[in-house]
Amino acid sequence: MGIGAYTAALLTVRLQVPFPLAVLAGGLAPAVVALPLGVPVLRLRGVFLAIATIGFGEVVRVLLINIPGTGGALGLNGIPNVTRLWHIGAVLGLAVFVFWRLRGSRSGFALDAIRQDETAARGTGVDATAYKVRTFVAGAVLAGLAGALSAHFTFFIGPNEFGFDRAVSILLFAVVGGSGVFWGPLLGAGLLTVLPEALRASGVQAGALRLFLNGAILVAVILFAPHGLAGLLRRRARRPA
Amino acid sequence: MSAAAAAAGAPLLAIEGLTRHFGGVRAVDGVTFAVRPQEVYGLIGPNGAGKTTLINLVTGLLRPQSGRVAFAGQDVTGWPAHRVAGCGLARTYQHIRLFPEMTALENVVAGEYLRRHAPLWRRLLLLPEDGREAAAARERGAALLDALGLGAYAAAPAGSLAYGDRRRLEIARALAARPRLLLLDEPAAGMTHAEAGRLVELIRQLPERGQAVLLVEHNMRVVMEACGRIGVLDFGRLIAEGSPAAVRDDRRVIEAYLGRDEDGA
Repeated sequence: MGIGAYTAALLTVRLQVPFPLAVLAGGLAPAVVALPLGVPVLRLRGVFLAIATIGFGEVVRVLLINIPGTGGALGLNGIPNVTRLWHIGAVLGLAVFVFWRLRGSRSGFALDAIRQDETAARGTGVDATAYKVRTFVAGAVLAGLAGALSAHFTFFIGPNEFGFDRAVSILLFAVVGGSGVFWGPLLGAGLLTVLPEALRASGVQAGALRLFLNGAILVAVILFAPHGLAGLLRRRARRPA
Repeated sequence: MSAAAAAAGAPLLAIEGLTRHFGGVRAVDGVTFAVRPQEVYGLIGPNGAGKTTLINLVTGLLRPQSGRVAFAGQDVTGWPAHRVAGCGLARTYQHIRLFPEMTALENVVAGEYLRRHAPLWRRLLLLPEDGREAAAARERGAALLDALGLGAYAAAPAGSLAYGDRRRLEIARALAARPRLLLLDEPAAGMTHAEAGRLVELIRQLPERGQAVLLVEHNMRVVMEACGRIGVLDFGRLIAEGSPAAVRDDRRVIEAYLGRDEDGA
């Protein structure tokens, strides 16, 4: 996301590249990085993979601070504010459509199989490593697009915006919403974005208490709905049948 | 000799001097044998004889330290599992490996993965043939489930099935790939007498459909009734090979299972 944001923002600010092209480049740049990174890193499993990706995120952050031309720790200012809501809606709609159609496709079966039993998936002919790398790259493209759009929405980006905290809060969307179905993370993202605003509106002051409530809700979800809210809803839908 | 070889046909699976050590343990130690097309070949041996290791070497889950595996005329030694599977080799596992959150039917359809014509781009374009292909795949899957007596559980999550049903579902998933060789790793484990009998019937039908079977099994009745030839592994070595009757009466086989007289066994 950071790479996408900086690529796109630098292109529009420094080189006056048209906005659509800059967003496109913001989507492609992280993919170019993710491909060589994914091949060695995806050999790791579970928590080691998580640590490796977090580590890489830190590398990007430190690089952004130290590479000349990025504005360093002060960040990039004066990014043209050209992202409109429908731009975001269009990209989101496209992504949701792809994820919706993914289920039932050859790739969808392969990914589902890898998640549930990687050895068995390989045994039925799924090239698990290739799928993981492709998924990693696709995720990078999405994050890059999001970064590029966000940079042209907020006028300013800084290296610390795309650090560990951001990675965790995005991961939470999937955990809270549920990652088994395409609309789970949507639900999670919507809820976790609206929740702080709702709390503010209902008079809960910003700061420690809000973070505490966020954390409490997260713990509750993990305890009572290990497959996320989507898993909870699906189970309820299935029960009467 | 050449006439005999021609009569037997070229082997479908040829294993030559296959060896795999784990530390000082010679799990598989210079094993050579062949499975012919449309043959049911049984592999037996005491616990720890190296049967599962051998299957894992053949299917690409493990790499051999030496020796060769040829399948359908191709040298597949050391190939990754998904490429070996692509040559027409499907398997089941000693410890059942289903996709537990998928339904029984989805498991079977997933087993068709290699033959599936549902590329993502076609689904993205919402083409009608995609829907037809999906329906056809589900129909084929349902027919397989019926054939294995699992029709009633098509919509149940695989993880919720009873043990014997999960074993049969795993076989259904493997058959969905229409393999040229089916490797069964202890398929009768935990099955009742009647279930094992039906398994034997199923296995004996496969050669007529052009499929060969490599059966690893402890249940002697299943092995003796289902197999045309049997190989016996002991301490990683092939100690006997032949027809079920010949193997049953082989002195070395009896020793491997029961021990020698001088050991007091």
